[in-house]
Amino acid sequence: MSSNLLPVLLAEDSKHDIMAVKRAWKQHGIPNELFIVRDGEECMDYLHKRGAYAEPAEAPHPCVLLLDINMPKMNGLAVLREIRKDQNLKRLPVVVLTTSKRDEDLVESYDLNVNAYVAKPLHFEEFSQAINTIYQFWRIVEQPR
Amino acid sequence: MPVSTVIVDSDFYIELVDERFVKLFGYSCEESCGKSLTDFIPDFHLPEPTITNTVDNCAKLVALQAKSKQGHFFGIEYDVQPLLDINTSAKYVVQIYELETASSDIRYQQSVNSSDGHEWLSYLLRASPVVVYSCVPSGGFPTTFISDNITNLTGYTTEQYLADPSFWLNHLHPEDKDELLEKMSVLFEEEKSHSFEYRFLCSNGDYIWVLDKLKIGRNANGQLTEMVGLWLDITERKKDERALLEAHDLLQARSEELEDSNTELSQFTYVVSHDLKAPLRAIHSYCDWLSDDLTDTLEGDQKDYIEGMQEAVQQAENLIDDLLELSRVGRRAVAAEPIHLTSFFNDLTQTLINDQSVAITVSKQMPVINVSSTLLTQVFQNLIVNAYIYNLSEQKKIDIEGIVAGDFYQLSVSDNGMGIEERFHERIFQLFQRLHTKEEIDGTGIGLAIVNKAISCLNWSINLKSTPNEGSTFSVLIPLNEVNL
Repeated sequence: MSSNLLPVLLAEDSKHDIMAVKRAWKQHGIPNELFIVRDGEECMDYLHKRGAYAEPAEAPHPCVLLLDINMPKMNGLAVLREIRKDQNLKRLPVVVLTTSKRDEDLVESYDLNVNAYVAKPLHFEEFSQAINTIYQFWRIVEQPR
Repeated sequence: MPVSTVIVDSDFYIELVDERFVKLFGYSCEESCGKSLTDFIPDFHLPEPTITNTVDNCAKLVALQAKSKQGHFFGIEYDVQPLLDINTSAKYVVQIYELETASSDIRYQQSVNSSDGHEWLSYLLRASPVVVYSCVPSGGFPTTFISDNITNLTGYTTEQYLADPSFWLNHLHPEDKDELLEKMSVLFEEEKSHSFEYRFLCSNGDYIWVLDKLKIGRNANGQLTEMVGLWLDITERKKDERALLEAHDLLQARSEELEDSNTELSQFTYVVSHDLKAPLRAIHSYCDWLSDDLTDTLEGDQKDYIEGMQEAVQQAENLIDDLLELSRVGRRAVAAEPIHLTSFFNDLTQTLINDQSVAITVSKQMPVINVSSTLLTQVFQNLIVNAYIYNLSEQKKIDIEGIVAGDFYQLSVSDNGMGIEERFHERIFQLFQRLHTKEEIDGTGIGLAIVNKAISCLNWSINLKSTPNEGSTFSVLIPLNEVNL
């Protein structure tokens, strides 16, 4: 695992979905380290390097945020809204990853300049494939670095 | 008091009649004498001689067919007493009485004809259930006349009723009084009669409901003279009305409750199914990962355990999916669209049956129908899948056919499968009714319940013909007016 790769931050409250992402990570040999936060507030703490993430080593800036919408305390759309308002964070690539079928969520995500919106497929194999697609895409984007 | 007296000879020929006889029968004295009394009273006869028949106490006989000169029949009573005169042959004195109760129609018709109007009227008033009254058309409407039958209705005598000018007013139900008096003002605006319904206090303390139909009367100068009206006891009708109203309210409340509980149940099914999906999916994934990771290290029954777990989870997921599908049937209003049946069935069978060995035939040139494609799919997807899975024939056959049958277009799905015994034909459309174990044939027992619900949403009907071990035909009947033939 190459240590100069930036990590991926996953904001997800479902333990099962975290396991699925980790499994997909393993299945496709994705080298980027996966950091996990369990709700919207924790996600903002991580990104702002505050609270439990005050130590810079604890919270390296991610190359991409995989963001679930339905999360406790502060939902994914609120997180996205704050990120887009923040001068230091607004260029962070965000992939919304959700089971939400509400059209409003999709529309709002795009209004907030989400970089990709992925409905979580019902079966793991498809899910895993979706994660790999995202990885491949961002690897190409990240190439110049 | 006898009305009239006649003297007849031993052969009943009239010798003498009195004035009252003349008045009663309409024949003059001269006309009557010399005629047989049987011409006037055809069934006239002598009383049977008995010991009790004395002069003072002689039995009255009844004749219902007495006939007047004008041709009217009426009833009378009469008694016969011998007139004893030793110089002459036997004569009889016949005394004729008006009949008080029997044969009233005959009698009262006669009364009218003999201008005995008042008695006729008072009889009618007594016998009728309708109370007739008149009153002064102003103030508290003091009653000037009320028929005797008011006593039957209210327990008050006419004397009691008439003695107090405010009697009527004071016996109205307090809740009805003001509204009634206000409504009654219409009487003075229109000449025709008006009906009012209100409660009236009886002597026993109970209220009765009366229908009061009344109008005002004017004299030749157009001045108000009196008000006349009829009363009918409608207490029973009001009771029935109230009972009906209560029953209706109860029914409405029940049906609202039922509707609420149905909605709640359907929402519950939806929420539960939906929320169960996520953990089941997780278990499914964990099983698969375990199975993948351990595939080379599992020993003995361990592999069966994991496979059993995978199967169980799959069954639960299928169940949840079907329950969700069932709860969705008719949940949203689904717009009808023109659907070409032949291509609909060709597409559907292709999607559902991925088995080249099955001989599927779909009638060519089936018509276009206007229907929600979601509901149509819900019906036939389940029927077609069942035709396939409940079929152990070497060469499976599924025929989809459309024909006009009377007022309906009939769409049938036939198979050469295992068939269904007739005693199960109704039960299979209910939820969770299965005729096979999951080991024999996998299924959730929800498919035909979905079909049934979708059929009832469409106001169609479905029937089944089936012979065990030969096959089944499910026929869906669609009203012809929904089909563009």
